[in-house]
Amino acid sequence: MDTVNRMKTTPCPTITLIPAPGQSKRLATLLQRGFLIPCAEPIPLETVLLGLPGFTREYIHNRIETIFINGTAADSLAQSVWPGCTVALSAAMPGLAGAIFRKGGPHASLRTPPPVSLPADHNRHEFLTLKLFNLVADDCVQPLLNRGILMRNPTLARFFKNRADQLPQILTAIILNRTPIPINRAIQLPENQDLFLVRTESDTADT
Amino acid sequence: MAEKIYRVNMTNLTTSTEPVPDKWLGLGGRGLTSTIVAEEVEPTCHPLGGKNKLVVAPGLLSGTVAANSGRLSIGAKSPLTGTIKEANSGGTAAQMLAKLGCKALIIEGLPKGDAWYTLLISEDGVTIQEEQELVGKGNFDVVATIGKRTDEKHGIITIGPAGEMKLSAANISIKDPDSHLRSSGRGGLGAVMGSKRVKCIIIEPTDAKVEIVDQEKFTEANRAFTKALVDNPISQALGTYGTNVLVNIINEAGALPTRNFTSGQFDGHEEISGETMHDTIVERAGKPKHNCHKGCVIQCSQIYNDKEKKYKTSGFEYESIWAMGADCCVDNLDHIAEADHLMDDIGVDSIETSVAMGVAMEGGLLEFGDGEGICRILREDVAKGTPLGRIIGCGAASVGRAFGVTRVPVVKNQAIPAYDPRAVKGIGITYATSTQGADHTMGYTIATNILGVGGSVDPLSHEGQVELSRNLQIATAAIDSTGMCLFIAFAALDDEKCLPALVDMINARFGADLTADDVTNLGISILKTERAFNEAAGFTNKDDRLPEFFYEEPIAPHNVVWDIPDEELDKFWDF
Repeated sequence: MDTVNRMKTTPCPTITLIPAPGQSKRLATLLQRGFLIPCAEPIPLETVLLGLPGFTREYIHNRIETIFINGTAADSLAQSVWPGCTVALSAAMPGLAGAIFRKGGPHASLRTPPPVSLPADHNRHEFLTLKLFNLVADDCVQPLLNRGILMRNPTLARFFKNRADQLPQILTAIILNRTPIPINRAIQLPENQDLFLVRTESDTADT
Repeated sequence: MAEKIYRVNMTNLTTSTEPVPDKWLGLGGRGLTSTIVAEEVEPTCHPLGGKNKLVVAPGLLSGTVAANSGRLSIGAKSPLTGTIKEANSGGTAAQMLAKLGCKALIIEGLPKGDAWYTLLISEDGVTIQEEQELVGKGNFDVVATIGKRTDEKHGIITIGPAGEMKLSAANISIKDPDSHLRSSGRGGLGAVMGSKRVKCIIIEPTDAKVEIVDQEKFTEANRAFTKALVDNPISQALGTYGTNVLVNIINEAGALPTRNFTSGQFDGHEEISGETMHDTIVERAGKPKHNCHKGCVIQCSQIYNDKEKKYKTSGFEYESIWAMGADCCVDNLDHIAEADHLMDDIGVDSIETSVAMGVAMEGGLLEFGDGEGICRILREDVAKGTPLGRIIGCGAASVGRAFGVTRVPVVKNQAIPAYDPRAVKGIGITYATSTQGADHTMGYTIATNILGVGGSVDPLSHEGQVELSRNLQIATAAIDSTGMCLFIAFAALDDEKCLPALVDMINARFGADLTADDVTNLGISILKTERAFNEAAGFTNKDDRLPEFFYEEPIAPHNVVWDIPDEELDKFWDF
């Protein structure tokens, strides 16, 4: 049974992260490998983003300077995204490469021509993946996690494994549904669950 | 203090001070080093022989309070590429030399015996001293020892054991404000310094100031220039994550060369990203933001501490992290930081040496991903000069020949840096046509339109891409002559006042009346001077090519090959 079919029959468990005071922004790197957004059909990227907490129209147009859709640099927020695709967003980046990939950048002509976009099998999927990098992740991590994001088990497990040294400073508790999970070097997620709703408890002291 | 040329003859161990020839007055940085090398070095000479010269030159604005003006240019004929070479670096030396009135330091000849020497530069000129205490020491030990011998305020330009061994990947290190190191990394210039048996150059502090002809105009222009830098959003990203902010982006683009250039994406990118590095630095009480020279308002450097919260490395750059990380499949930042520290101490280019390690891994020396093994080889072989260490310390092409590996990512023998040219073809054009081998900083993202070198050909055609690469290289050559950090380019792209303010500062400094056209012409002149040297050294358009595997092996995930026709590349020099 693939992940999507299991989603339809199994309630999505919730992982609640409780950040230590002043530490919730340090969860921003949770977003760099991507989280899932339900997506039923091709839709403008801007429409997707405006449905997320923390993404106002002004913010989207001013802060997001680099857009990748399935690894190809995009120049417009009006460009369509679709089920199964991966979108990555970043602030303006340094270097010639940063300028080449920048949205509408003056050196965009130095890109390698993009491959074909909409794949024929997009109807098989129910989500798109959104990766947030650098300042965009830093800006948006709190509102996103306050509402909750969908993450796949391997992505979340990898984050816990890679941050094992830092987690005791960042988090005071990890709760799976209503059961606390010990914060140690080998945080165990249930292997039979592919998808989690990951959220933080409101940490107004941080904001 | 009036500017002068300091000349050091290592053959007869004499020094002299000369007035600046009129033809060199308007030059600085790369413009001056390349001009002097082209005029005074026989193009066909052996780079490690007595006919090569090492030229050190601050930029036109070095020593002033202009923001981000602390780059020092060092030039010679390169032992790695055989071409003319300029490598520049931050640190304190450029500003100190400029304040001493040193327009350029020219080191020529070879000493006859086995002795090593230190050069001391002061208000009285240059003196040559025989050196024993520092010989064989790593760069960090050199800086610490000189700090005890003099004081912490002296400037230092030094080579490590790699330079002493004349390895082709040897760099030249410059002391930064915290007594750590910055590197003129590329092209093996440390071997040239080592061939002249100069272990280090010590610069005495001075209270002298650089003369500014029109101080009021200079201050006004610097204010506008600094504001453009500080206000730019890229400065904020650089000050938070450093240049390593690029790992995630370039990986996403499929342009992060991985496993010796066999893929464009690295599964361990998250573990080595700028975002992860930032959190690690904060966790260990390091500094995410740090300047490599006084007056830098971007502060893209950082202090990276080890798990015990002790200093490990600084200036931990994207290109170094990519090379030791993705290209060697090492997903452990601490191993990469340790390797970076070792390479800084040994005095080898962290791009060249890391790419060489990737080639060696393909050749079976180590398993890909073996970060501890890399550190062991750096420590036990490269630093000690074993036969294996010397092969690696002479760069990627050297390793390819020794191990029979054909996938060797070099142009003109210099390792290709962190952007795969199949996935970003415009950068590949610059790698191929650069006068100095593959180098991502040779055609930077300068606002060509403001400098009046905007393209006229369809930018989406191959011809238009070649033209844009040429224009970027022209503009970059000009900026490299000012002493400015190339990161001013980002502000120049977004703020139309930035580059004019830079030209205004040069005019105010010298009482000149330069226009943007003059700056462009300077860049054109530098490129043509460098090209003429290379042609006289035997290079042709056939050297302006990428290795054949780029034409034949598609790179994932986009499965693209390098397909810019040779005849289009050859049009690069039609100007």
